[in-house]
Amino acid sequence: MHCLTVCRSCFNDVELKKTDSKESIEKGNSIVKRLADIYQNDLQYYLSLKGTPYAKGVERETNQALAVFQELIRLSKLKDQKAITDDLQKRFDQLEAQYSR
Amino acid sequence: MKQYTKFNNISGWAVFAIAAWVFLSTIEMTGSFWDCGEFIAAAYKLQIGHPPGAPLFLMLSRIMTLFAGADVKDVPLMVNAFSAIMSAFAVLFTFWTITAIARKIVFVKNQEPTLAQILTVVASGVVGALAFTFTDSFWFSAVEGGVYATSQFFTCIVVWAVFKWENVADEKHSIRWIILIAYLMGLSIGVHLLNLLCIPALALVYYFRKYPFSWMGVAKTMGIALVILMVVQYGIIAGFVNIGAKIDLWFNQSGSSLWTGFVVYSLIILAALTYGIYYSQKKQKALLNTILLSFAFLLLGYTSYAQIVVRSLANPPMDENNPENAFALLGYLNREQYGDRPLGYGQYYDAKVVGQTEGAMSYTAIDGKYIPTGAKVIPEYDPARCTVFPRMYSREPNHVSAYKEWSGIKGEQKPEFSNNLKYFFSYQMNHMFWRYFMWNFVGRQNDIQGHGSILKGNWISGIPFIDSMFLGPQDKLPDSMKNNKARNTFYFLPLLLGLAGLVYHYKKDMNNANVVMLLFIMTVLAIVIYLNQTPYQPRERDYAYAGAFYAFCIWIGLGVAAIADALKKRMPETTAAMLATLLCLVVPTVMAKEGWDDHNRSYRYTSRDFAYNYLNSCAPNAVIFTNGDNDTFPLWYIQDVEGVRTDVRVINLSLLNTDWYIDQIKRKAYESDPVPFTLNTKQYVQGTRDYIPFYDRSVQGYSDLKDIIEFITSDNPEAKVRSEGGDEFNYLPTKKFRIKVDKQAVIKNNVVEAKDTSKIVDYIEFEISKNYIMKADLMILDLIAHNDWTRPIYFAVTVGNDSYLNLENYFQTEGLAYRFVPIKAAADPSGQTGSVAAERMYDNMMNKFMWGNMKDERVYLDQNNLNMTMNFRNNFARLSETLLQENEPDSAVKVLDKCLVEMPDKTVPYNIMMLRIAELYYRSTMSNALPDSLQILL
Repeated sequence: MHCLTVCRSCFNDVELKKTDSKESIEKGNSIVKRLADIYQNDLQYYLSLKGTPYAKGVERETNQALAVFQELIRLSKLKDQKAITDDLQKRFDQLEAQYSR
Repeated sequence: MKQYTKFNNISGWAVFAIAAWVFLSTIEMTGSFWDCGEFIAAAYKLQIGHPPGAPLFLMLSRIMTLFAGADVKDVPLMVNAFSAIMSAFAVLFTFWTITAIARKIVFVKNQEPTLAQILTVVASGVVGALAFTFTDSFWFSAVEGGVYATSQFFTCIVVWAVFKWENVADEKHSIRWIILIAYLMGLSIGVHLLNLLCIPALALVYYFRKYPFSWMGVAKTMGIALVILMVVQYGIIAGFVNIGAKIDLWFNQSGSSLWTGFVVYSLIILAALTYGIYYSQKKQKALLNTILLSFAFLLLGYTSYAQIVVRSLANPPMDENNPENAFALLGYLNREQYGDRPLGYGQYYDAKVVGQTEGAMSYTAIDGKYIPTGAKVIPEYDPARCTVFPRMYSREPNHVSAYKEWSGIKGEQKPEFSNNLKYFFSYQMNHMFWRYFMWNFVGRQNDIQGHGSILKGNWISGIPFIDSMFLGPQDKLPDSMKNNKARNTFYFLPLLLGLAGLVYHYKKDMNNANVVMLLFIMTVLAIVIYLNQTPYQPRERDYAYAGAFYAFCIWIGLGVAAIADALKKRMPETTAAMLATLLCLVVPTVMAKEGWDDHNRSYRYTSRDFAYNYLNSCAPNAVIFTNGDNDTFPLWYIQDVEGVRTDVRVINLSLLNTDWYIDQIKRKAYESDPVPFTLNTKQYVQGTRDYIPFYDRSVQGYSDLKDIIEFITSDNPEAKVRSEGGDEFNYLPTKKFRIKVDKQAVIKNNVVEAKDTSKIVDYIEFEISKNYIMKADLMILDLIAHNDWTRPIYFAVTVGNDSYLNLENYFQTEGLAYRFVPIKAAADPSGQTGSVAAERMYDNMMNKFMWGNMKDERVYLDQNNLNMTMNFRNNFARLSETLLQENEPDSAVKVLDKCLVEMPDKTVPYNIMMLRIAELYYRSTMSNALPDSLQILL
């Protein structure tokens, strides 16, 4: 393990290192996309319960899934992954529209 | 008939072979979660597991472990294989029980059976026994090293034995079957008490065989059976030891050593029984002779409990309740450690305590003498808020809110008897039994523990329109639910076949149908009533009802006979029998196909490896506090059996409330030195300082913890308060504590990483939030006050905030445990506990930890396993984040990569925990890699 460490109060004095790795971005993207698929899938199922007595039973899960989706959009913006952001935003808007109907 | 017997025997053994192959192919390769680790460790070294003990199971398992050879890692495999083999025998006896029942229906009296009849009877046995093989709950227990498989074996063999007796009841010496049953029951006590629930059904078989039917006769038989059940449960199992303990006390007080009185008492019983048997034989009193012989053999089986005492006297490292004297043995058998719950009459959850009575005096043995430790205090509740058949009695807030939910109580409305019954039927019967029944014979949604949500743990059939009636529309199920390996759908087939068999059984042989029905009812109702379960059980409890599922499988088998009977009206008898067989074999086939992937525990090593990781999170000679089954028992297993990190002392916080456990922790165990508690036995003996309340004495500021411990343990009357009853007890005068830090000792003992020495505080200051401390808390405080940093102290990450005593600010994550350090952690905006010792944690997680083979795509991780993996994902993220903060992006990425490799999406499905992993991948490529909260500092 590398021994160069910085104390939290010393950030100003140190030039922070970074990995300039496409691989890391791709891995981040891959997780984001997979999570988006999972939660979109979940949300579509929760949507299918809308209007039934069972919808109330998944309110907590629905809110959590929507929050995760928003978080994924925020994450994709971190590294300016525009294509992913646009795709996620589009999917989220569709879901939101379906929920607000 | 010869042909049938041959067919019956060969087919039985063939079914046995299939079941054995199924179970042995799907057993876990190492210890499993929950109490399996404890059982395996207890078996391997013949130690004392949790009350009420399972000595016969341990001794038999110990024999199995001898086949492990030199590689101790195969020890759990052998114990698991023992369960598998005993389960296969259970299936064998199920087969022979079904054929014994079916032949009475299918064969024509005094006629040689036809081929069609033989085929029908044998097929009934095959289908019923194989269906039982593949029932969810039985299969679960068959592939792990616990007591339920062996317990089920005893249930199956005694039911088979009573039908054997029934066949030969008029022959000379038929009574030997009854005596065999008594002996088997006695043996079964040394495994699990579930087997006793067969007694009423056995009595009914006896009655039907010996007497002409009358409802009065049935009622009398039931009455006698229940009396026998009570006599065995309370009179023999506990009563025998209870009387022996009192005699032993009397002898001891007269100057004799411990156990003298008990031995004398046992010899008297033995002599009386011998004489009684001799007398009854000589005088030709057959009934008395049978009763005495049965009693003698039942006692003989029960003597397996001698192993508990003998081994406890050797003081093995695991010696729960220390049952080495008669009173401790009695407490062990009575499961006193788990407390009482009302059954026939008792309080509602809102009943106030209005007084207390004293129960029997408790004794402990010190230096060979029984010393009274005080009478057990029994609270008296407001009689206006008590009821018969109390079901909602727990006062724990989360239980109370769930009681209200299940019983329809709104707001502050008081519970009434109607609510009580509603809770009984909706939760205890429906949710905690019928739901399990449907899992086994209709299908199961997933293996996520359910508390009423439509997403978790429900029964499901696979027929969309039916499932949608109970769980809402099913057409857009997400992949995670659709493809969950634990989603098993049987399309009602086992249930329907079983119901057909039940109806047919009643139509053809009402007496025996009543026997099976009684077996079913007893293994449901008696358990539900006796357990009196509160909401939010720590795990699903379906395994307790395997006896009822076994009874239902008898009817599944008879379903074949029912269908063959129906078909033979339209076709030749042999064709009908063959067609019925083929049709009905679909049932176990569907159950096997659906259940295989989630019951197959091959390739999985998580329980063992996670235990390894807990221990390897700790520095040498450490103490680690744990809390539940899953962060304690696997650790006991890996230390006791595999000898891993025996320098680390595992201390379970629940057990630390007992004096016997503290005694044991103060002894050396393997490589682990005694834990240096300063309290002596008299200061923590049961009944002393079990609970220490806080009385505000307006103490200013933080008090030295050593002074507080001295105050709490003082016998000076000025350090005590007096209760309304006149009892004096110690109290806590403040909730704010301070520990002076000896920096030299901290540095010398490598308590903190070298780079962190400047962060060592002069004092550790903390304030507990509770208005009391329990004995376990007192012992923790004693240890941290006097340890002087010589012994590394850890809390497992799974312990939970309630037990941390608000010490979290001084916790440092080093893996699966928080180390108590004299460094104050900065507040973490994401709510994580303590700080991170990145260098140590990196070494632990990247180089030392083992991962249970989770990356192997053949591995199935049930929800319990998956819950455990969340700690790892969180740890990977925490470590990576800390490395980024410490300007180590390459290492941070390596940590993230490791997380993906060891816990891939295929076996540990991605979930919300992966958000941070993705974020950290992104941040590792950024120069402003720090989370927003720390960016502010820049």
